[in-house]
Amino acid sequence: MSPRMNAARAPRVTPAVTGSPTEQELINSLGWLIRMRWCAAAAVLVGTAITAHVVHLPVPERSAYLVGVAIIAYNVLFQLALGRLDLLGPRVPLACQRFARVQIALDWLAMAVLIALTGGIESPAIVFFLFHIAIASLLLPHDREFLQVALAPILVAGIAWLEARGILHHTSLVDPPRYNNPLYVAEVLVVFTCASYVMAYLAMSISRRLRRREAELAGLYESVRATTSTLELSAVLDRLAKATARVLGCRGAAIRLLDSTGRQLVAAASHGVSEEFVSAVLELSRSSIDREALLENKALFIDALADPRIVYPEANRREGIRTVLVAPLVGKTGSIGVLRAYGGEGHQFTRDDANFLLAVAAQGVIAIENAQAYEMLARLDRDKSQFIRTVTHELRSPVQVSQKLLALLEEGYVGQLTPEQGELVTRARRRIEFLQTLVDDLLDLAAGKAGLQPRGERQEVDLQVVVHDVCARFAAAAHSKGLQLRVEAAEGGVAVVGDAGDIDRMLNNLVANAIRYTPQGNVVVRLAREDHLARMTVTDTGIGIPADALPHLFEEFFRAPNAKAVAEHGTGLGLAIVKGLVERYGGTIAVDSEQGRGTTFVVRLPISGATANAAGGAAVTG
Amino acid sequence: MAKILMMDDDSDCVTSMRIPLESRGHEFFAAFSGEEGLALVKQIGPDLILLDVMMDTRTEGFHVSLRLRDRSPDSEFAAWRSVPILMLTSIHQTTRLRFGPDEDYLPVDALLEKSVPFDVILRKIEELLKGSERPAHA
Repeated sequence: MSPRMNAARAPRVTPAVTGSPTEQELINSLGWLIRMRWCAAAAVLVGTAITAHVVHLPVPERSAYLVGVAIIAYNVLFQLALGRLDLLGPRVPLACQRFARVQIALDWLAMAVLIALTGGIESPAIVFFLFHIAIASLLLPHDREFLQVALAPILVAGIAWLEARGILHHTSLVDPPRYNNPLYVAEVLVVFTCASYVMAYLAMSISRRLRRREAELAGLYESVRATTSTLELSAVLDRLAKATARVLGCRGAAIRLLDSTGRQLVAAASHGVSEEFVSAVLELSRSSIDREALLENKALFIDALADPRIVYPEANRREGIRTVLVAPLVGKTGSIGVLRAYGGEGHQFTRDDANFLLAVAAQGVIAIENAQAYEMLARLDRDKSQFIRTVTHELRSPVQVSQKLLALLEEGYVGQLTPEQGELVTRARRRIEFLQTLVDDLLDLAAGKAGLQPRGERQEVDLQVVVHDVCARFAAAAHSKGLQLRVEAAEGGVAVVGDAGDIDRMLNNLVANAIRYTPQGNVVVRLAREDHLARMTVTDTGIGIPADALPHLFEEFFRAPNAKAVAEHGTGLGLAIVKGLVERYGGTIAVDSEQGRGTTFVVRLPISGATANAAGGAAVTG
Repeated sequence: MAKILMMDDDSDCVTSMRIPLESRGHEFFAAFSGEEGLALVKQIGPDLILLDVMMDTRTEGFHVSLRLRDRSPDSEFAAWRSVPILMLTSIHQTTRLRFGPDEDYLPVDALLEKSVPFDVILRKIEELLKGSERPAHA
């Protein structure tokens, strides 16, 4: 329903970069006029030839051809001048105006000469003068228009007088001649004058209407651009109010939005009116004007002082408001509020204004709804992060402190425990330890699923450093199991962009698994560069993964049957977390394993500066 | 041996630190909020401060440390600016917080997760206490 501007049409009406639309329009029109003039010149030449040789009237051929040639000559000059003007651009508005006047003046002169050559007051060519009058009305500003129009009958009257006095030669095209009959001359002049003014009036009305449409379209385009260039709700509302007032050329505008109960209209934005004038909250039940506008979905014209529906005309009087135009704001889900335009002393809103206001309201609602949707999404995101942060703290604290209290018992700080007591305490502490790991893992997983931004700032992470850090962390654990933990890192730096903590986590879980499920032998961590990818490999000589478990390996809470035999308690989340992280970084993870022989995990991540294709995933081989 | 002041709103956490520290012969004081803690600092003049990150508000620990380490000459805690502060956090996976005496950084001397074993915490405390025996820098 609302007029949709498509980008291809916009440039023609846009005021955007340089001057007002009328300047660009003027240049376009002048170009058109010059093109038309070629036809006119041709018509003069051909018309003269036909009149002389076909109709056999005594028209002064040579002089007429001369006029035609003269028209061609000055049109060439105009064409060149137009080219230069186009380069200068609408930065010289006065030059455009002057250029237009010069063209029109020369045209009228040529017209006058032609009329003189073809019979003066008896000339049928007088009719063509009306076209020139129309052109002048369309192109020139209307300020001294009625004086300008008078020039035409004056010129013709002058020619008639000169011919009657014998000063100018009269070419007689009709028989008997009437040019010296004062009554005839007077009648023709009167008719011509009337026709001129009627033509001027018609042309000016059309021109005014066109200009107005242009201005409205430009204004609508401007307001669309202004309101849709931001998703921030308050900015959208402010711009909408401002655009409304500007485009309608009125004193001010205000927007009210319905609150969640649908019973109150809350002031949302205003422009051109004082703060006190726009009271914060309006009861819909008390404002029949707004109710009517919303119910009937149309614009209302209100006399701000006399309309009986106005509750406080005094407020309007004090503010200087005399007329109000009210339009409903109706969106996808129903009415969301009202848009009001305020006119000051002497301002009258027209039907065109009302239609235009409805158009502005329609597209304004779209912008408002978009901004509201965006705000809701932003809020949801904030709430999600807040929730996870709170849960993190609330879950961890009791678990951690329980562990500490049990550790006090276990380590003998409050006296020696009997072996039996010690055993029970140890078991309790181990379960709580597991609970802690589970909570940590679940929170990591939840954070990953929630798509939260990585905790740290995005920076260059040197993988060499991470690999060595992680291995150092597990050195003691490996040693106590009699395993060899080795690092083989390629020469040169390998870096990815992201959070060091995330990468650490990835590698941490893989190495922890490798050590946990390797009763003897070694664990090797390799880092290498593969084209635009960084490749991290964790290989162990552990229990391996049975073939039928491989497809489920990265599922949450999944533990392979042989894993449970080696380590009684495991969350089953470690690999799911790794996969989540790897995918978030746009990488891939693959596993190769044989039960009883060992396992190799391969993680590939795009190196900083390179972008892997978005679809990361887990591949399972062997 | 030393006077140790702990600020933590969780009484169980306080208990879990008091017992091992007193068993080492230290004098242990507890405050359950930042405000209470700062008042106690003036009162007892501790040799080391154990500071919980999240107490009443999420960043209360930071605020306390910032006030204690305030560089302005007329700060009310100027006399205790060089007391070592060990920050304890339940935040899992150190979030790359840097710490040190520099103004840009977090004004504590060490940061440990609450979940680390007692001996690690105790060792760190002994380390910090030894370090503070050096003449304090201005």
